[in-house]
Amino acid sequence: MLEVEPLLGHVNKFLDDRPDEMQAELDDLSQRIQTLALTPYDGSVDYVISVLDARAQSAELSLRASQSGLLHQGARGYMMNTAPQRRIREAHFVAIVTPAIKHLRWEMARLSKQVLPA
Amino acid sequence: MTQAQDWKQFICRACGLIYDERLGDPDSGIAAGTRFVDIPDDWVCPLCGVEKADFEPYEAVSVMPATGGVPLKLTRAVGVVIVGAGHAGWAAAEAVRAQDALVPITLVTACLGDRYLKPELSIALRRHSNRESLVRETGLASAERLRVRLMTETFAVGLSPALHQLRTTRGNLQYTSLILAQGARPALPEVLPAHLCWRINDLDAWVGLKRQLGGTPKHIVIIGAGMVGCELADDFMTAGHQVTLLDVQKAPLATLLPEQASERLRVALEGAGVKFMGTTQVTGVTQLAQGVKSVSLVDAPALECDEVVAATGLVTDTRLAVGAQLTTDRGIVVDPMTLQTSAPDVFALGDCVSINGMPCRFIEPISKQAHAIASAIAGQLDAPYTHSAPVIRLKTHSLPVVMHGIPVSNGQWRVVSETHQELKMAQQIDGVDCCTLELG
Repeated sequence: MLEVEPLLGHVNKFLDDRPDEMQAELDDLSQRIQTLALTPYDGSVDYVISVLDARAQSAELSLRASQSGLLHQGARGYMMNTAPQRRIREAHFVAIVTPAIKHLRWEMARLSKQVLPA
Repeated sequence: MTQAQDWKQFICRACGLIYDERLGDPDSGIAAGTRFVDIPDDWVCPLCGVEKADFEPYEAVSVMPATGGVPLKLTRAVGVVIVGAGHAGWAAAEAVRAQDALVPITLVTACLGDRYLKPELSIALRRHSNRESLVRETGLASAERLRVRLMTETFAVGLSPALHQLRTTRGNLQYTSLILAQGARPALPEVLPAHLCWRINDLDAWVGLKRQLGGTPKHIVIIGAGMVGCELADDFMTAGHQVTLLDVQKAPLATLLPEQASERLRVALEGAGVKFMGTTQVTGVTQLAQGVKSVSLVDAPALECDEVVAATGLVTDTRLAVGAQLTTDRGIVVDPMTLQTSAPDVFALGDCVSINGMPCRFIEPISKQAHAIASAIAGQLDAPYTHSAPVIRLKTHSLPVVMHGIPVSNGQWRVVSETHQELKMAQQIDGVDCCTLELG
């Protein structure tokens, strides 16, 4: 995105998910992960939900960042041998490989449910 | 006949019940169309039983119809996002919609969002209530009426105030303003396993317990003789069940009431048939054969029973708030006037908040809090919330208890009057009554 900014910035400013927005989201996520990494042996349900939330958000952010990367680069990113198109494929790997986004959300919902006598 | 638009409403300061002059209270012999001033002074709240004097005028929020029509299927547009569909969440939705007919509102809830009065759960068994009779309006109907996008069975899992982003188990939401109305959840001590102990803090749990009790008398052990424990004991007993009520204190409600009053409550509950066991500590609950549960105690033989109910207090679930680095203590800390949390554009109300270091878990202040938040969101700062101690009313038929004001732990109680049926007490600070108490 930043690479083509000098050349395409004048039209790229009409896109969603601009570099500064993506950077802000990445910074927010990185900071949360740094905090979680301070207590890796905290096995509480609350902690596990926060870890799963960070993992799910990483996958979602990969999808948006890689798509936005290709949109920013345009035709030069679409070529078979370019990084942006390959990143699109790999971002989907993060989103679909077990635990996929849907599995992570399913597990967070399971952990959030109130346990009652049957 | 007076014009229909003149009908007024009055809210019970103890339980949140609304007396509507148009509808009257036919069950208590008050005909539809009876003015509040014309109601006899001996009339009491049909839900919790406080006196007429404990009602105050209530201004129903009127929702303006949208001009030009707003599609019900709102997109994931930025707007107001509310977490929680209890009384507080819906009150916030009503208040925001009343301020702005067009703003997109999304309500995220772990349940179905059906609307009911929680205080009714404490007296629902003796009334032979069921889910249908307790639900006042379904979540779907409310969502349609208020033009709210309702996300049911959805959990809020993460919040990033800097990004104005709420993450849920059904995707991420952007918000312009976020309102946390998550309520409080039962605090279950470690020795009480969740899969063996009921906690009656929401409709689903109550319905589950009722189903389990079936139509035959059962033996129920209630752990914790606070307000909820005492009310449930009284209700289960009246509904024909055998009840054993346990507490670590020597009398029920001993942390709130002076000794003389809690002793009177103990006598009344026992007179009604509740077996009260004070200074009793539970060490565990186990499942025996054929659904029988065993409650083991310190220095006493284990109790066998059909169902165990834990009424061991409430705590705010602060995971979301702590993860978002909002200031919390015993709840989510909010500004006492605007109900804003420590993060910009994030507000909170109801059971999850802490005002001046104290959680406030009563129905009555919620609509005022919702109004203050809606005004703050609309940029009108001339309608600040003012916090006042609600009336506490214990819905125990065997001995009703009413308290005005919040007692302080080191304050001195004095007896105002005492008869065989009735006890009135007051607590003073610097010679002024700060808390009054009536039993009977």
